Amino acid sequence: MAQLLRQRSVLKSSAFFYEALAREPKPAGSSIGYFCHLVPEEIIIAAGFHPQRLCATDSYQARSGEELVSVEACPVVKSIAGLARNDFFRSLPLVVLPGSCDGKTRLAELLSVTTEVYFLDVGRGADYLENASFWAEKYRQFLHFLRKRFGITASREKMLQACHATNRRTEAFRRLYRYRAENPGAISAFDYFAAASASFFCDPVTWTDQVHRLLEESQATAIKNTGWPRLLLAGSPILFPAFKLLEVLEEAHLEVAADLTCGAYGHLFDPVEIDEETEDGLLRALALKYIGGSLCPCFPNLGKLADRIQDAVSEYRLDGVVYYVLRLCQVYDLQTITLRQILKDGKVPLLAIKTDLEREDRGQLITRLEALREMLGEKGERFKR
Amino acid sequence: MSGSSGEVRAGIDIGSVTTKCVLVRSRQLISAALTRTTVSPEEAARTVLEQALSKAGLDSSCLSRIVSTGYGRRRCQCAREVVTEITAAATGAFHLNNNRPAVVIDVGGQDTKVIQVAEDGSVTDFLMNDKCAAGTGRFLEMMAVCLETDLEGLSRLAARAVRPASINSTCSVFAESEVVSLIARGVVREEIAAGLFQAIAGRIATMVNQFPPLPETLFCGGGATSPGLHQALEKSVGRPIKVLPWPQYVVAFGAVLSV
Repeated sequence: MAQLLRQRSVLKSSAFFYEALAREPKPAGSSIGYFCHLVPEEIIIAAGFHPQRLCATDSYQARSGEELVSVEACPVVKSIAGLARNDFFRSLPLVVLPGSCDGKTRLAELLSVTTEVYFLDVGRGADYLENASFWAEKYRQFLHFLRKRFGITASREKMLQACHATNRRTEAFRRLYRYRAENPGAISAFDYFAAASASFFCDPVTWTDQVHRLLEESQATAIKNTGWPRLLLAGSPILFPAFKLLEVLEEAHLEVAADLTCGAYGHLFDPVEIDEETEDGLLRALALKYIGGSLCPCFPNLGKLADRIQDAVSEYRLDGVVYYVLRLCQVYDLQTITLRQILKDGKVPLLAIKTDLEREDRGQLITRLEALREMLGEKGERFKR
Repeated sequence: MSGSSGEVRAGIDIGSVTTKCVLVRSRQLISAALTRTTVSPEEAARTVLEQALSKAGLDSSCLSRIVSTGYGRRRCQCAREVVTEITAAATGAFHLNNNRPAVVIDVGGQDTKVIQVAEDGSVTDFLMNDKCAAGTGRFLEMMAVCLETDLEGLSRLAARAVRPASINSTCSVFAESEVVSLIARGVVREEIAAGLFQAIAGRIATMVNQFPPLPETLFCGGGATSPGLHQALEKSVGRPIKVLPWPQYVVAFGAVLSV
């Protein structure tokens, strides 16, 4: 699939990301695997390991995972369970799972049968002032665990270097994010989400260089503005290879101009804002970046998400919002009706799309999305053959 | 919009269960035809178009435009323009309701849509049921078969019910088991039929109640031909619901007016 998407891309520099996805490294002893955007990569890098985010959305693995968890579990949980069932994680020295949702908590137990698991308690509170010390303490415990378990120093200096490296990656990502939002049709949603998914395991320095290269190539390329309605995509993560939603959006002539999903924006947008370069200061800054900045519905974040959506729609002059609910992921589903109402009061059109990793509902999705396009477009702009 | 006087336009709505065609002249419906959607939606579209033309005593050369809509809209080779059934239902309902804002409920074979239509006839919001058949016309058809009747018979049965049976599952497959189990327990068909309408109406009401209570609530699609569903919906939503004239053709008619 990565090769097909690569061939479709108009930008040659996107090849790096598709090739990285096509040959995603198998977990190895030098890597620490983790799930979710709440795990601080900088601590793993400081400990001398390569962080590899392993959130999976593979329909084959999800079907396989149904033999270990409920058929009615979240597809991401089932995909990870499927990988576990196929012994994918055995060679990793450690896997880190945050207890952000019930599915991840169960997975921590499930994965511990074959792999050592570190369970990162992130609580359920969202308010930074009330929870910052708790989060920083949990990160400190994680750091101390790594030091003791692997007999390494994981020094403050190394953590600071790692923060600088991920901050450079964030700078590049923000450049990419704003450039896409401000230049319709410049870089496709496929290229954007492929780059984001590739960042899960690419070395931050290399990834950063490649994003700059992609931007330079795009700036030197004549942009074909399709004039399609431009949308913000929020909700469940879009992770390679589950790009079905991107395909149907494109088929319905809708452009994803920006996102607030945890596989792209949530993973890469916030920098580590360092006030104090002490170990405590770095841990607090990491807690602020990862948990304080999270829009994950595992925390009571609905007000923050609604504000962020309205800000993005206004700042980038977007036409509407698609809120994606990965079927059976309850935390996203539970907030749909309230979010719809809040945005409706703010005159922001929102279409909620609930789907899974399978492809049989493409027709129904396209009908909804085309209707959204008709709703957003001028009368008389209907599809013509 | 719908063309100069004398000009005839066709709207073809290829639904998952039935395919409908209307001919429209000066924004007035002059002919209509309906057939079952077969494995070949193109053929069903051709059939209804020929039937509608024949009823009106016209031939295809007099058609100025053909617009397709519905689940099989892109399979209709004779149509030059395509519009979704959501926009088409909204436009058709708006026109048939003297251009007034409303909430439109369209119960089709495979989908149930609830659409908010503004003062200018545009869609301001819409909801559609999930991908399963629960709360749709197809569900009612399946349940009618279980009770050895048809859609009309299901309404007649429900009208005679004293106390509707409680049916919890609106999943077509599980509801069928539930109906079989109720029959086995000796619950009369009338009460089962009323219970089925109540179950679907409750599900649709959940969608309707997410919209502000606009002055009027309109009902169209194949589901609107069922008095049993109409009554159950009024009860669940708690306000009068107006069934639009020739409800199964509203979407095809709206498609013509949309372009």
